[in-house]
Amino acid sequence: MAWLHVHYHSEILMMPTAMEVLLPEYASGGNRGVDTPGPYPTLYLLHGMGDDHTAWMRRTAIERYVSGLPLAVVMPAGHLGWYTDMACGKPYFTFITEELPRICQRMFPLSPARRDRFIAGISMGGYGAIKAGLLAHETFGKAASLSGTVAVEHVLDRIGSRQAQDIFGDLEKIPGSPHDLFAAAEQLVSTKASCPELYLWCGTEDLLYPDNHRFKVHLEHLGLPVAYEEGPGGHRWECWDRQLQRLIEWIMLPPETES
Amino acid sequence: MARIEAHIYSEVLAMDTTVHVILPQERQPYIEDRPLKVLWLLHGGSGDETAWFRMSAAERYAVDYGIAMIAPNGMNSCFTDMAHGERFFTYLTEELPSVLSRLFPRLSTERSDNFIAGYSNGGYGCLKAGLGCPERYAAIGAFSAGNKADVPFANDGSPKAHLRMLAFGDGDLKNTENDLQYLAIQALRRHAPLPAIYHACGQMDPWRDLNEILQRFFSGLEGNPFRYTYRQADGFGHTWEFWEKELLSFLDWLGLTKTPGKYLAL
Repeated sequence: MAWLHVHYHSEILMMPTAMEVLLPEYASGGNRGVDTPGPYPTLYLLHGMGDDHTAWMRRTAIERYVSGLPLAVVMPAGHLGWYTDMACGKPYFTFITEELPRICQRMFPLSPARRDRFIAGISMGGYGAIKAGLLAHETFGKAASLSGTVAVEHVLDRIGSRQAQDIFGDLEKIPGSPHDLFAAAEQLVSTKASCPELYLWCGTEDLLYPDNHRFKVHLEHLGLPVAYEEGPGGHRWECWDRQLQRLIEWIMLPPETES
Repeated sequence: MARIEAHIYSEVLAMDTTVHVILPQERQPYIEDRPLKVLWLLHGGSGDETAWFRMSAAERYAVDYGIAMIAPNGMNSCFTDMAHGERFFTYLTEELPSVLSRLFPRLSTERSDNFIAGYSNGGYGCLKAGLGCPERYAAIGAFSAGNKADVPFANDGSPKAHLRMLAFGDGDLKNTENDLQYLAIQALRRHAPLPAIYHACGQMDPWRDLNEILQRFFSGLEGNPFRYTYRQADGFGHTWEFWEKELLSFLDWLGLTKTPGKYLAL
């Protein structure tokens, strides 16, 4: 595995930014590389609130979990933007779903196929990953959330109303808008577009557990493809490090249907 | 522009190592699909893969000229396959180009697009790489560079002598793979395509005599088969001010042109 610290320029964010990237090293021999040349399927892995692009490398053993797999991992910085095109701020949703994949496919040997593009995250990043999956459904083949803030109206439990308005605009208008993942799922079903395969996990001791369970029931009711798991644990890296291994297994499964 | 610190595993070195890569980033939508020209940048005796980017504005020049830059770490090897140590020459000239062309598909693998430069021990290293593998590099930029084979060796037990022993052993280097003149003559005899050589030394450089021995050798070759150019810079010593100035001169000498605004910059 090659581990890259990348400092690059985002035209969408109008500033330099950073990401960590793990790339398979194609090698004919030895046990450190992979035996398949690229282009590789890619997992875009999003951090949570207060973290940055280094969080996954520092808090989990992700490099060990993907070593030997023909899978690239891109860990971008999403700052405090909730992976959303902010009402007063930067367009993080467009950055994550459009510009970042284009930059990465240009710079590294990554597959451009939807079925090879995955997105996942924790907490705020779980919200971002599911939002990307539902709204940019033509871009991602799978989208996964660990302990995601899936009920966005509860964002006010975590940030002040001023900050929330900068991100989401008029808070009264969130329900039913694209920011509302429950509504975004309904909207996707109504357009009959192909939905990425979804994966949700939440710890049963997490304050976000009831929302996650409710979201899973909602997705199942809509007939969307969701794999759901829960287990003991709270809103903690110990849980995410463990569950990341499960998530990678799920990512590596062949697609359920070709679309 | 993207600045990438890449931690890779080298099978040749049998260890993890770090290489710095500068990739010019163009604006979207991406129209041009031409591979990037590549300048390999070698560090000197006390440097590492970060040296060029910390001590000079090399990254800015990469953007100006739209050229990728790659700076590997050769530790204390002078980028040779060490007598007692790792095979940095093989790593630099064989493994690394193939590893990086897979990690970064925009890098050109054409000989005509690949140039190699270095200062001090890296100046020797880039001459050795270019003369030893003339099929890989179109041009060499050697700054403050002498031929190790021209340095008489007496093992006085000093740290410097110890490093020389580790890299080259304790024998005479004349007419070995570590002798730049020998490599140049071998390349001429093979009728290989020859790299062009740009060589520069500061007038106050304490090792100017070694540079001048090399200059006399290349200047004496009939018909100047390496298109050899030597420049002495008055007022400069063995310093970064000189190497940075020469990096720019080398880029100009290669005939590269600036492309203002084409690539994204800080």
